[in-house]
Amino acid sequence: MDALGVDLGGHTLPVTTERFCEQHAPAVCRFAAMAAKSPSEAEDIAQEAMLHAVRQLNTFDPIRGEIGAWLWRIVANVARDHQRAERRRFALWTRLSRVRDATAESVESVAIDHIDNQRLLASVRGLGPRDRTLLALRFGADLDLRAVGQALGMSDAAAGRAVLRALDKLRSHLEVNL
Amino acid sequence: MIRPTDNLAERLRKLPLEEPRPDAMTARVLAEARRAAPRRSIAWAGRPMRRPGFLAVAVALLVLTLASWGELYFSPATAAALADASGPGGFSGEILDHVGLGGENITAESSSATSSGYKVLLVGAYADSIRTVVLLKIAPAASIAGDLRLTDQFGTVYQAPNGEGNLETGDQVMSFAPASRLASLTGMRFSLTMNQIALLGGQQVSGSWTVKGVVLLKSGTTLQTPASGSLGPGTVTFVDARYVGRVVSIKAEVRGVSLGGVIPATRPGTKPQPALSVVLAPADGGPPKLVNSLEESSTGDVGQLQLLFVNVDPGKYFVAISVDGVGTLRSTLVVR
Repeated sequence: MDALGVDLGGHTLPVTTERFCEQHAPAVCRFAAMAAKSPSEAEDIAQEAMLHAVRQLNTFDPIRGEIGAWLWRIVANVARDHQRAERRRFALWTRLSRVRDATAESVESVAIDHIDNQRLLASVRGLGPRDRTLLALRFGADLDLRAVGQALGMSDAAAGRAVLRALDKLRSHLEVNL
Repeated sequence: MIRPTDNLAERLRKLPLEEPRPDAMTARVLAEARRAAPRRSIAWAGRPMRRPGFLAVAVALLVLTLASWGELYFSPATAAALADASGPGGFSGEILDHVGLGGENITAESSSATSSGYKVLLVGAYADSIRTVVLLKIAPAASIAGDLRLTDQFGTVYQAPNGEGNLETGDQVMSFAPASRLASLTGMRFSLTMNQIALLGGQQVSGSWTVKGVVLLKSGTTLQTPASGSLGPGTVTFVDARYVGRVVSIKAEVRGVSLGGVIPATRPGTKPQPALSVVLAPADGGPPKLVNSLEESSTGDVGQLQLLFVNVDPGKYFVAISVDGVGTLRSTLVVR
């Protein structure tokens, strides 16, 4: 099926929707699994994001950037919409986060090796929605900082700082629960 | 400080996750996308649609409310509540230049709010039919990190699609969508609220800041539209051209040719390239200006194109619209 088959307003794109989904769905699914609070929410986020993207494929504006960056902006927006209900929880975890010193980090690095995957995932899900999105884009979807920044409307440097802050919060969360 | 993030980052990269199955999800997405009237998301499939008459009723009620309450609050222009129109002193000229604003275009504001030991000062605002821009200074220096919400006197909430700032000085500029039709008629009395800021070291500080301001929309100049012409097998008709605050806005209708295509990657490792390119080239041969913002939509067989170029001085230019493999349209635009 080509792009016309999904009501793209008469625009002919040299990429098929199937190819588009094939290329991007795995990363979107992994992102959703990390950004969501539960597997069912991950299903919703991934599905809704891809559906939005497919339906808006004709509005993709190549002059603004690559199709991947365009898609991840959509994905991040869908995830944000899903996460809005958790803002109060987000504020709580933000208050719990704190700046760490280098000595503590080296000790903590050793401790991290002994944390099981389930606890690590639970800690990620204990973070606020914005931090989950940042970590899921960077480490779930494996985007570089430029792509993370584009998805969230910030510069590469700002994205880098935000990811570091999210990791700091995750460390704090892990430490609290050790 | 270099932070030893590798351990945790690597753990996250390799973390086993219960992921949705891409193939099953793709099948559902494609099936849903094939539906004739794609108005509902899959998650909302069972939810009844809102009646289309609701919006009209709501607008009518709003107009009645406006008529009965008068203009004192809702029309800042008539309430003579406008702030000084001179430019804001001390704000980063570099940041203003990046967003295509000169200090002389900014309406100075002075509202401020302090929370958690940080003061947010609304330095200025700018609005036209293209965008709404606010200038903030945060002291001690910080940048906006959390939710940012701009609301006008009619309750319209504007999203913040873009922002730029300097963490060392606390200067921050945020661009929002253009004023609603109502606000553009009366002037915009706005409230800006935020709940979090970020410091240079990366720490985030939560708080509650609300600043308020008033701004009138700059009307700008209506320019003579460039001559319409052919683009490959299709046609381009320029329908509107404006010059507001060193920003040129051009609207065009396109028929018979697709603008949304991409040129696929030719080999592994290369990236797809956009088929469409637009530049504004000075007629005297100076460096062309790339389009700052491009929005495309379509109604039936007609595509609508809105182009934005910033930091444009008066003069004669050529607008060049090219679609790879299709052709190029070059048309003259006089900015004055």
